[in-house]
Amino acid sequence: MKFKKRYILLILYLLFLLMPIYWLMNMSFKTNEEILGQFSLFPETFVWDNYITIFTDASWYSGYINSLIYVVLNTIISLSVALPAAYAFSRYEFLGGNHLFFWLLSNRMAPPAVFLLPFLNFYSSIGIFDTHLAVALAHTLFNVPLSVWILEGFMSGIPKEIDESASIDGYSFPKFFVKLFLPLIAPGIGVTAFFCFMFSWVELLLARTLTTVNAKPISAVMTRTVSAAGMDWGLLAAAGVLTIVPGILVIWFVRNYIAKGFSLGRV
Amino acid sequence: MATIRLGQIRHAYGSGRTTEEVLFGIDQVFEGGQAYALLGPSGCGKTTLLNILSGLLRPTAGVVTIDDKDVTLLPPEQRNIAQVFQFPIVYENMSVYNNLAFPLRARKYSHAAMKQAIDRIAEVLDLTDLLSYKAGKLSAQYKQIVSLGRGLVRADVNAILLDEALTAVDPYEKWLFRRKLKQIHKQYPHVMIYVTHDQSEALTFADKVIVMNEGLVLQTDAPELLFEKPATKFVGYFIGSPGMNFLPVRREGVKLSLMNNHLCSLPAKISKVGGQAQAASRIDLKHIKNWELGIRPEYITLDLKPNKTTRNALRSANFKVKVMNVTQLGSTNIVKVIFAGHELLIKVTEATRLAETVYIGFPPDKICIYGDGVLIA
Amino acid sequence: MNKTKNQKAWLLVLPVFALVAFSAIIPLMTVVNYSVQDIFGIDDRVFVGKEWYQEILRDEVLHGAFKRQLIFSALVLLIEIPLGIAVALSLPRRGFGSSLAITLVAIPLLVPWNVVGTVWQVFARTDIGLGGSLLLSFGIDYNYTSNPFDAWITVLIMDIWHWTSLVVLLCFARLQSIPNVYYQAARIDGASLWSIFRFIQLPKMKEVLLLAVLLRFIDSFLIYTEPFVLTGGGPGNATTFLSQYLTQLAVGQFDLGPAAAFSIIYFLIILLFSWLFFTALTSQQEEKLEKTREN
Repeated sequence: MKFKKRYILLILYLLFLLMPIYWLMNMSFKTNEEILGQFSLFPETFVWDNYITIFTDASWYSGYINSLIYVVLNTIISLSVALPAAYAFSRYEFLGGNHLFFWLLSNRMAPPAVFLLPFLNFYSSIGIFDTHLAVALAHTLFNVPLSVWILEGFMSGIPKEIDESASIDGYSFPKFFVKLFLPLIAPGIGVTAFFCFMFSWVELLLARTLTTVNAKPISAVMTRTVSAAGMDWGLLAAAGVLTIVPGILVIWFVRNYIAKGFSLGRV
Repeated sequence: MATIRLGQIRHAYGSGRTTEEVLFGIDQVFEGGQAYALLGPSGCGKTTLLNILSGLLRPTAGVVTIDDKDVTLLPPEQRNIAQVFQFPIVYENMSVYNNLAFPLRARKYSHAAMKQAIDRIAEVLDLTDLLSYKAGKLSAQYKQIVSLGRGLVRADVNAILLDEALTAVDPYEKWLFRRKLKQIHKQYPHVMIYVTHDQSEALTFADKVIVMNEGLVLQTDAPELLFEKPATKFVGYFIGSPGMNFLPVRREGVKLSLMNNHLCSLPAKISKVGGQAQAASRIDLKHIKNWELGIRPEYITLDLKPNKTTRNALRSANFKVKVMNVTQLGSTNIVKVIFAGHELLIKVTEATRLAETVYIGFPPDKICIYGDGVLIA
Repeated sequence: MNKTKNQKAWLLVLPVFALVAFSAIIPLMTVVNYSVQDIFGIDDRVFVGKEWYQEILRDEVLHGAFKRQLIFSALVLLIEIPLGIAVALSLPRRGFGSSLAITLVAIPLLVPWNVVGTVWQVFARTDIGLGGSLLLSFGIDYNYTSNPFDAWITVLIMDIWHWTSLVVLLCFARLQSIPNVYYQAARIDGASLWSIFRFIQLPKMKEVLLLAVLLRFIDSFLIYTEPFVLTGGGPGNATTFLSQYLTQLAVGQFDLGPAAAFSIIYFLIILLFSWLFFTALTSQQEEKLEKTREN
């Protein structure tokens, strides 16, 4: 087995990425006394207590469930509006279509901090405050433009003749789109879903502001670890580790799509 | 004038359990100044063979030599071979000029020599007006001309390999293009190898045609010989449209006959037979099980009445057959008849008169004899 | 691809616009509204015109934060884009190694942003953190909670840790989709590794790099959660970036008017820079040429 020089950079980079994660995991299996008391690369007394607390306390695990619900909801909404739009971009030339993408992306450029109060007012007034839907809708702000772009790239790779021959064969547009076209861009949908999941799962500011109790996300629950007795480092670390797990599962599912490669469409 | 030799080239992709063998021992000589067409169905190993020639692939076994120098292990840049791919490859954000200059810069040409070479090739390929354009902005067809130019710009190349390079080019341009290629080839007598699956292209373009199938070279010959004397049944089928007709014949001792008509006599031992596949062996007739006659649809004679003037039934139209159907192909018709339980295709001119039953004959000088699929006589 | 001119395509884009109107334009209008009024209560507001804008443009703290923000975003782009490209080039192309490397590389992207802050908090602390104590044991005087420079560097390194992988994944996916024949042609031409990068890989990565630059610029310019958790903007104002200052104004001090004026300016600045990047990277795409033979 020959060792390639280029792997040196990769190994250093991975080391850089994984050291902090390792440290978080390490801490999550320690007691608070050990964390604060001595410095150790491995837990001296290996404990599951931090994890047990999270899995048995409803206020903890419901945070994970809430987060997952709005993330999935957001992914579904983003994909279902982005798919037809991306199709339009990839197939038709229409007024304003050329720079539309940029203007869509400009949604992402608004400071979320600014949107907090308007969102709060607006969502309260239409009665969806503190629901999963509220967060899911707020997150479409940045996920829809990105989804449109990624999907458009994949769709541009599908020859237009397929659309034409389908319509000659008597497929109606909706039937063609769902039965023939979507399976062709399955990798694109996978990659897009990954990005939607990613950006929705990691966002805190909007998710925290738009919820109080019923849809409170895990990232907001985590602030509870600060108490009068000081930081509960072990619990915080365990909660942190658990937030990484769903992400790893998602990336494992789409890794092949990324490895196969894709080219994002026009600019 | 470089001579390239392949000695017992074998190649397999993958390793371990997933090995897939694609070349099974190829011996071939390519002489400078000759244009070769490499012809065969897709998946027969043409592209693999080309990549081994250019050095993109290292063969699993065998030797490649250029002018008797072993280059098997040399990377492509040290072999001085140009290759043009099916899919147009240009350096998109460079001008056409810089694209043409690219292989020369990598070889440290002087500025003057570079300019001269580029001007020459640009003129031949009619690219002079486009030299300052960005290559990425050209149409697919012009991109392919530029990639061809990148291959041809080095006047000293040993060989130029074209891997179905004209697929993206429209038919009229294709014709101009082939003419340009020939013109360049006359000036610079390198080896030119032209991979295609279009046989009319191969037959009109090449000095010699190499027919491959399933990882073996079946025959290397001039186009006419390939047509007249296909080395194997496969070549017979593959070349020509429609392919050669085959009929089983009977052997008694050294005599072969078709429907009790004497065909020919064979020597007890056959040495030279066409094509590479059997070149080395001497074949003992006794070991051959299936004897067949091969005849091109163009050479079968067809008449409305029996011809009694000659004795030899084979020579003249003397077998009575039933016409099954007729396919019209512009100036020619393809007639399908049943002869002794076998389908035969006959190519006749449009003007030929037909009836429900016709009389056909096989001119002996146009007949090929195959033993177990290989040309014997 | 030849596109059909068809204004009906707007129908397909309509849902996106409805959603954008719902989640962006209505809130944005509210913000514009705030920015020109002085709000005392729900029904008690006065139109003040450009007053808040003038006030915010004179704000010294804001100037400091803006300068920090610009330097931060510039450094983020200068480091993460080249590093991301380099790592993407060094990833294994196929097999299990490729899958594993992709998964590991993607991990930081999938960590909630506040957890990113937490991860670095526990990693960089000098008492309980691996990174911090390592630096101390090498004899480097490091403390991100008290030394402004250390805090700054820590936030930068945290961002590199967090986001370089986005560049890596985008570039890697694009590199994987370059047909092998490009590399074959380059080898035939005798191209060096550098030429292959410069003339094949880099041009092909243009689109993904534009996306990467835009996303990284926008997100780094809006950075809030991670430094908030890690340093809380301190020590002093050393790591107070624009978003943080804005949040202080809007939520902390409830100065809605100035905060709204601030966010409009903020938004316009990002829009301006993004537009500059966008046009710079797409400008050469404008003219199209198809030479046709005249006969």
